[in-house]
This record gives sequence, structure tokens and C-alpha cells, in this order.
Amino acid sequence: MNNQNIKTRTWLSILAVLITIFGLNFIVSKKTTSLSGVDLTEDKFYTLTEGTKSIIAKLDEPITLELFFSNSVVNKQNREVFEQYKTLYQYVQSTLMNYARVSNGNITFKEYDPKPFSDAEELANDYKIQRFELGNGKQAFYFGIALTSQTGKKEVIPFIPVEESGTVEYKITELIDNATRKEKKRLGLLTTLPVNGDGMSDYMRQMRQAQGQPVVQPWNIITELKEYYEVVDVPATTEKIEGVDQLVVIHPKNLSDATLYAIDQFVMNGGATIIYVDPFCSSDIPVGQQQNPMAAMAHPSSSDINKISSVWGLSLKEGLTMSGDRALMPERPNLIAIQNYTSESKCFNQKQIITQNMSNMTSIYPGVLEKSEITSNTIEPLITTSKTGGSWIAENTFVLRQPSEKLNDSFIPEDKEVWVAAMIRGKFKSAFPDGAPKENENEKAETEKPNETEENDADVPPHLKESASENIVIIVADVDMLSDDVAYQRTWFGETRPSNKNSAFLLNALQYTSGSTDLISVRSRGKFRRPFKKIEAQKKAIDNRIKEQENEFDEKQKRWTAELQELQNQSNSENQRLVDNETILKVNELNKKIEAQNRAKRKLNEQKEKEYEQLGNTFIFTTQFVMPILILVFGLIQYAIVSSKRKTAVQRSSKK
Amino acid sequence: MTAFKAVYKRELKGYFGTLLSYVFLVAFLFASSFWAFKNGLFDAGDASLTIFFTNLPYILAVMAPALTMKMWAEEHRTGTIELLFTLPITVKQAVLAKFLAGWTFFLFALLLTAPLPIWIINLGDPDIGAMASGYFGASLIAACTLAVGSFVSATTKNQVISFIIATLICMILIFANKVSAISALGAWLPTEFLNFIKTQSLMDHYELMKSGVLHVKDIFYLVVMTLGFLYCTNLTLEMKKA
Repeated sequence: MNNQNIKTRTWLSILAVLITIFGLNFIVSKKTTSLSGVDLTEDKFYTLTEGTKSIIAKLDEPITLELFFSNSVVNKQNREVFEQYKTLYQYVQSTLMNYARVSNGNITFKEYDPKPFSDAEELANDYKIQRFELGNGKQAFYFGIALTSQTGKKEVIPFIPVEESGTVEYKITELIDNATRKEKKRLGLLTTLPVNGDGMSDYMRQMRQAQGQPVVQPWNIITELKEYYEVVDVPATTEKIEGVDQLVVIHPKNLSDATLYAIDQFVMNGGATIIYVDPFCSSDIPVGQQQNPMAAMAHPSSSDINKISSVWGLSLKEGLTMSGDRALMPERPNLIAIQNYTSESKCFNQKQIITQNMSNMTSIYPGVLEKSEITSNTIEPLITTSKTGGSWIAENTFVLRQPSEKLNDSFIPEDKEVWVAAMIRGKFKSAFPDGAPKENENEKAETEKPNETEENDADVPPHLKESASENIVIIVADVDMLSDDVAYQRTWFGETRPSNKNSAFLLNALQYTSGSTDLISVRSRGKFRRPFKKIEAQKKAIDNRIKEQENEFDEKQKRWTAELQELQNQSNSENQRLVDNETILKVNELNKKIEAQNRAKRKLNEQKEKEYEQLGNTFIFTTQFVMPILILVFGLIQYAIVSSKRKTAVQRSSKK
Repeated sequence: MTAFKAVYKRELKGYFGTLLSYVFLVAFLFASSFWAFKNGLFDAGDASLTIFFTNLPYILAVMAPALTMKMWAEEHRTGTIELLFTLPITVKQAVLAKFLAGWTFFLFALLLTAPLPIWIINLGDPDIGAMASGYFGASLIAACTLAVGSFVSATTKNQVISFIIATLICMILIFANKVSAISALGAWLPTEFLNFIKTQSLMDHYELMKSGVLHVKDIFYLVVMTLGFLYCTNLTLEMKKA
């Protein structure tokens, strides 16, 4: 009985202990959820930035963040890309939990696995989360986020590509910011390039495409800008800029004084402006004449606003003066990066919030910005070459068609940081101190009736010689960095996304100049995915070697195909019966050679795949087998020693 | 203290002195690395150990009970437990000494996985902070699962039963946060109770650690669970002693 009592009491005690520890865990979890932990990651990925916290703190209504990720589908896939998505999903999930934690109950986090024919899948489709069909169409992959608020607002990130893992926090914060913002700011766009495409709405464009009519798509950068701003077209012949909060000028080629005056006065009136100029804009070649160097020479493709910007303190170096840098193309060290380069982090002003933590921008024939000493404005570089940069001058645009190696001789090494983008801040002085350009007034006087002149004079805003308060102008010496070819690429899933930070730079600059710094501090978080650099370098070396061999095969195949075509044309023009044996034999031989080349090319691809597989073999073998085998051998040796000692001891004791 | 050290050393010698322990180490090393590579540690092209750490709790949920199944059950079966308690050592000290010996052995096993991070550092540029945090979390999970195994081993004389029940408990703790499992219960249990179940999940508390974040609620959970189950072991042995 006593034993029974003890047992009962003990088991009750154990139960009490377990309930206590589970209860304590629950309470502590609840109470400490809003605290942030110690983030040991290098880039502090799991710590929300102050910008995010600031935006979350401004939430005035509860919102729900719903994550859709096809976990069950991904677990069944063997492809490498899905392994990357699994890792990214864990990070996104953890980040969203963080958002809910710091929101004081304003953010609810839910997640769904949209299995086929499930309610979750229906919900994902309702939200327009992007659906990617896999295999036989019975499975689909979803990875997106939907935001809903109590007042019925909906914002969606339809898809999170693995290549954009470093901007996940930014996208989510931006989602929240967009949902809570009352209205979009108006962004004026002044350009001499067809960046708006044919100027039609998306709906009209789709209608025309369905009817088989040609359409001209807007540049992707414009599509991206329209997500955040109400983009207002400002004609390149405008004499007045009004009704917009900020201004972007892209390729201000041959602008009239009247238009330059309009830009000047917009800046004087406190309108922040970002201007892209270019000594040679390869995007400004008339369609159909890209391969015509003579036409390229004749067509002017440079732009600048030196007439006004020089007064503010910054101008584009004249003529076809480009910037270049020895250090920016390490895979081709003998080549000075003249035509295009990818700016690494050392080329960005890390003290400036727009370019902090930035790396990887690409520019094509970037120009050189020079600072003028006459201004009292603060001028600081945003993007430069590295310390081994310099400049070079092309005689004419025809020269630019040559390969980079041939242009090396033109490079003037200055071994200094050459400016490619810079910011002017301060109280700007007008480049037209005497008011609107006189030629404008004279033309008006000739064309206008007296009544019109009086009415127009009433509309003309007063001329400002200086801006009343501090303003910002950013000038970038390359227009091509905004083009689709340079700034965007297609993903594995077939959608277009930025291939570098070119578009992010413009968006950062617009955010900064609008006074909103919260989002900028979130924008670039560094690298989330850390590749196996050595393996990637080895893969690249394999690719280059295989590519060389492939090119050789292609050359031969081209030659033989041409020969074959010639023989076939010859035999077609003569009477078939008169075609001699020699020709027939030659045709057969060429066909065999071409077939052999195709087989050789297939074998090359096979070889490439095999070499890829072998790359990690040493790593996998060592970690999977070598250590366990060593331990087993050590264990066996240890066992043998102990056994023999025991035997000896037993023998000794039995002898005694 | 002398008796405590003696028990600790004896247990540790037992772990390193038998061939079975080396087989255990080989099985742990092979299983952890094989499963990590199978789940895409190399194929994902990401120089990090996240996939390796994700699999570890499942491996520990089986390995820890395997290690602890004879910790007390064998002592009960052979009768050596009475001998143990004749030593100048309290039950608490004995429990702690055996647990620490087991944990030391497990930490040694984790140390033997060092070639993996070394290779990754050689091939890429991994986040060292995240790796350190993952290993720290793994050592705490090992402690927790060992404590569970120790408790179950103290309740029975049969090693197999000890292994099965301990593994079951560890698996329940790991899978407590699974959405599908919760939603099946969701129809007839209150939400707050479901949240309560979720917060008891080992995986839930390991999620941040393996990513590189040390949160007070996660460390609290693992420490309290470890100490709690060790105290339950102590209560069980006190009962058997009485």
C-alpha cells in the first residue's frame, strides 16, 4: 500500500512537472514573441531594418499577410532550383513571422500549401498568385504573398524568384507601404526615346496583339515605375512642367532652350529631378539601322543638359568621352572594361543611403561627369569607377563598333575614381538668370495673337532665380543602363525581372528625393544565397572550354552545310540524270560529316553534364564516407586493443 | 563531487570503450551527411548548412533514445542500480552525471561532422554566424532528446520499450507544429489549445536557431525541457529507490 502511494504520488508529481514546463514554455513563448533575438547572421537578415519597423509602426489598421508556398509539390521534385526555393521559403516564412512579432498585433501571418483542388489553391488563384504548371499539368507551383486589410485593400507579390532573395524584406515592406499609402505620387517623365512604347494602355495593346497587329512594348523600367507612381508624360518640347511631384529626364537630346528652362524652373520650384544623359546611347539607334554603321554615324545619339547642369555644378564631359576601368572585368584581365562593366560594391558611395550596400550595376558606354568648382552646392559621387579608372575618347561612333580589345589603346588610365553618377544638393541657381529664353518670347510674339499673349502671360509662373529651399538633382551618365537588354532578364519560369541593380538605383533615388527614406534602408540587404564560388568558377571554366569546342563544331558545320547547299543548288539547276557520281559521293560525304558533328555536339553536352556531376564528388565522398570509415577503423583498433588487454589480464589472473 | 566525477568518467569510458558506440557514431555521421546531400545540400548550390541542420532533429529523435535506452534500463535489469546508490552520490548527481556523459558523447559526434563546414568554407563563403548558431541549437536539441530518453529509460527495465517510447515522445515533440496534424484536430479543439500544442514543438524552437538567430523563447524552451525531463528522471529513480 505504501509502495502504491509512493508510485501514485511520484507519477502525479511527474505529471505536475510536465504540465508546469509545458505551461511555462507557452507563457514565455507568448510573452517574448515580440522580442527580437540575437541575429548572428553576417548581413543581419533576420533582423528587420529600422525602415521596416517604422513602416509597420505607422499601420493604422490590422492587415493579414498570407504566404502561399507549394511545399508538398516541392518535396516531390528533384531539380536543383526547387532546393533553392525550399531554403528561400524558410527565410520568407521566418521573416513574415518577424513582421507579425513586431507589429503589436496589427499583422496576422497565415500560410497555405495550395495543393491541387484544395481551398488553398482556390484562394491563391483568387489573389492572382502566379501559378506555374509542372510536368503533366496536374501539379502547380505557387510562391507568393497576399496582403489584405480590414478595409478591403489587397496587394499581392505574385511570385518571389530565388534570384531576388536579397530583396524579400523590401518587397514585403513595400507591399505594406503600398497598401497603407493613400495615393501614388505623380512622376513626370520627359524623354526623347520611345520608353513608353506605343503609348497605348495595356488593354489596347493586348487587343492589338490578339488581332495580330504589331505593338511596341514600353521599357520594363517604365512598367516598374508605374507600380509605385502615377507616371505622367511630359512632352520633350514642353515649355512648362507642372502637376508632378518629381521629374525623371531620360536622354535629353537636343532639347530646346524653352524645355531646358522648364526643367530649370521645375528644379527652382523645389521639384527633385533625376536626369540620365549619355555620350553615346546605343538604345537611340533608329529601328532597322542597328547593323548599319554609316547610319549610326549620321544619327546623333548623345544627350546632355550641360547648359543648365554646369551652372548647378556638374556636367557631362564633351564629345564621345567614356569612362572605363581596368579592375571591373576580372575574368578578362587584359581587357580594360570600356564598353560595359559591372560595378562592384567598391564603386558605390557606401555613405549615401541610395547606394549603400549596392553592388552589381551594368552600364554601356558610360560617360564621365565633371564637377564644377564655381558652385556652392554640395556635390557627391554616387557611382564611380574603381581607383584604377580612367576615360577614353572615341573619334566617332563607327569606332565603337570595334571589339573592346581594339579599343584598349584609346584608354587613358588616370588611376582615379571617375564619376558616372552624382548628386547635387543645395539651393540651386537658375541657369537662366534673365528669365525665359528670349528666342522663345520672340517666336511667341510672331505666332500669337495679342489676346493670347495677354492670357499666356497671366499663366506663366513667376521666374525664379534661385530655389527657395534645398533641393536635389541626380545626374547619371548612361541611359542604356535603363534599357531592357541591360537591366532585365528572363527567369527560369519565363518572367522578366531585374538582372542587376540598375532599376533599383533609380527607384532608390526617387524614394530618397521624395523624402521617404524608410523604404530605401530596406532595399538592398546583401546576399541571402551564398553560392559555392569555387564550384561556380569551375563550372564556368567547363562552360568556356565546351563553348570553344562547340564553336569549332559550329564553324565546320556551317562550312559543310554551305558546301552542301551549293552542291544541291547545282544539281537542281542541271538535269538530275546528268548529275555525276562525284557530286553524289560528295553530297553523301558531307551529310555524314554533318551527322557526325551533331553526334559530337551531343556528346559534348553529355560530357559537360558529367563534369558538372563530378565537381562535387570529392566534397560529397569525403564528408559522407571518409569520416565514418575513419571512425569505424579507429573503433575496431580500439576494440582490438581493449580485447587483447582483457585477454592478457584474464590469462595472467588464471595463471595466478 | 568525487563520486559524481567517477560516475561521469565511468559512463564516458563506457561510451568510448565499446565497439557499439563507434558503430553508433558511424551511423550518425553517415545518416546526417547522406540525408543532407539527398535533400540537396550540394545541389541547391547554397554554401550553408541549413539543410543539414533541418534534418538533425529527426536523426537525434532516433539516435538519442538509442543511446539512452540502456542508461537506466540496463542498470535496473542487472541490479547494478542498487550498487550505484550505495556510492556517496545523490540520485540527482547520478542522473546529472549520466546525462552529461551522454551529452559529451553527442557533442563529440557533432564535432565529428566538422569536415562538412570545413569543406563548405573551402568551396564558398558561408555565413559563419548562422553555422555557429545551428550547431548551438543542435547541441541543445541533443540535450533535450537525451533528457527525454533518460526519463523513459528510468521508467522501464526493457531497453526496447525504452527506445520505442522515447522515440515516440521525441517525434511527437518534433511534429507538434505540423499544420496538417493541427488542422485535423482543429475542428474540435479550441484555437488557443492548438497554439499551446504548437509552442511545444521542438522544430518550432529550432527554426530560428538553424537560420542564425538566438531567441530567448527558444533557448528557454530547450533548457526548461531538458531540466524538466531530468527532474522527472530523478523523481522516477527516487520512487524506485524507495
